[in-house]
Amino acid sequence: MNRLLLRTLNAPLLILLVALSVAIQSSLFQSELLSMVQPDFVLIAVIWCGLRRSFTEAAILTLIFGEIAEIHSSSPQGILTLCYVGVLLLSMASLKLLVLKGRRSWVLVALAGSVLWKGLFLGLLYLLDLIDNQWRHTLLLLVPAALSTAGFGYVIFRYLEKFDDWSWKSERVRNAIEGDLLLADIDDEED
Amino acid sequence: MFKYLREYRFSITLFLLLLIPVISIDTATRAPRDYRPHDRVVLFVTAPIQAAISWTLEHLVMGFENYIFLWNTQRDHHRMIEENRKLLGKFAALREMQQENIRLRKLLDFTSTHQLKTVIARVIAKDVSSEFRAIRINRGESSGIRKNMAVITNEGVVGRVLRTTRKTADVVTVLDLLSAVDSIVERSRARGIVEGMTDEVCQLKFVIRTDDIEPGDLLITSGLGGIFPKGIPVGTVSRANRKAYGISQEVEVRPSVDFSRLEEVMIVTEQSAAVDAIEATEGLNEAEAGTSVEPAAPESETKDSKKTREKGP
Repeated sequence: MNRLLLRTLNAPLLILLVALSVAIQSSLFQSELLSMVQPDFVLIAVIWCGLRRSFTEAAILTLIFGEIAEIHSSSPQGILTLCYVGVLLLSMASLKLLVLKGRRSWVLVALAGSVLWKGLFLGLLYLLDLIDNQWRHTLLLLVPAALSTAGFGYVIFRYLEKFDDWSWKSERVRNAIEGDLLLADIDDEED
Repeated sequence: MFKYLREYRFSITLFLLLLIPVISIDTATRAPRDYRPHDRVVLFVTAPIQAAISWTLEHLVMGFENYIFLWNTQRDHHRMIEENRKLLGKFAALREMQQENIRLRKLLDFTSTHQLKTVIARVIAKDVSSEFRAIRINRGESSGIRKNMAVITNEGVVGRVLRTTRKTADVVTVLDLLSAVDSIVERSRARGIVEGMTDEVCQLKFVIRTDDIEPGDLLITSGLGGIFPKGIPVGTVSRANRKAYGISQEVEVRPSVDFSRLEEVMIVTEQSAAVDAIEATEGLNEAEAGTSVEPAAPESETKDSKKTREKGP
């Protein structure tokens, strides 16, 4: 029962964690120097969802994460969400097309996702005729932001794995339980 | 229906996933959005955290700056003290200029009210003798200052020019023993001559015993003698002693001008025609009414008056 409850709470807790991380990101990295290496916690969460959740669940969570990010931004509504959707699709596609095993390969996805996010963002701003000299600034921060997101992603992915294990969401834990249950059934039958 | 949805679940989800943000962008670019109820819920959670982190960071930085990064504090302290000393000096000079500006502005207002053509001068010295109370000003013949010109401030009569050089002039103040100013009591129109007495007080002489004079009465120049324009305050009656016998009374006058703070004065170089006309009219009225009694003027005043009359039409 507890396992079921924790599994149910996994998504709401993840949303809450993302909201808290956005709050930390927007307040901790507000100085000019730190903003250069500001990681995108939402992006990390979106990539995590793309790698470890079903498509429907990841899509819903991504829309919610995008909404949370947009609440803390003055950008026109939908732009950030659409960028995150693009990153989600990239991570899901990479999961299908590439062999991604372990955190190191996820970090590479985060790196690529960060670059893609910036590209999509610039493209959307261009399409909406909102861009002026913004592209210089965005390109200037492209590499530091991507490296920062990848670096933080390496650590955060680890804790997200633990979080999934704790809330019985992880496939590995579920398989283990099912294995235990199977063994228990065999033992019962043998008895 | 459900079978259809299940079969195309991926496509439908993908379609919705792309459609929702696009619709959001479309609506957002048409009308700027405000916070919706669920936005406010998220903000309710995140705003206190943002505030707490900002507060912590601010105090951390403040703590580092106030207690750890103090290497240059002593040098800065000395520099600030030096800077403060210089600024205090500048501030004092500016305050002095401000006071001077106020005084000069008052003088200018006074000049325009009385329609006088004046030259402003600064007091540069005082009399070396304690019995005589002349002052020296920094304007002389080169500025158009001539002997026997009236010297006033916005407060009232200062005195008259005694002698001049090219660059300076000596002024006999109303406190000086040589001074004599023909004055009238503003309230009762009683007339007398104000002469110097002490460092602070003058005396009103040649006042008839029956004249109505009381402490607090304002004395103004009568305009007779041709030195002082009519109506300039001379002083206030501080004491009036009317004896039971005799033909005059003893009246002490406190000058309107505070001589202890006298810094700038105005020398009346020319009185306007309007003032002269008023003087003439009032003099005529008084003569017709026969109410005024011209007192015996002292020697210095009488000489001045005679000269003026000789020069006049």
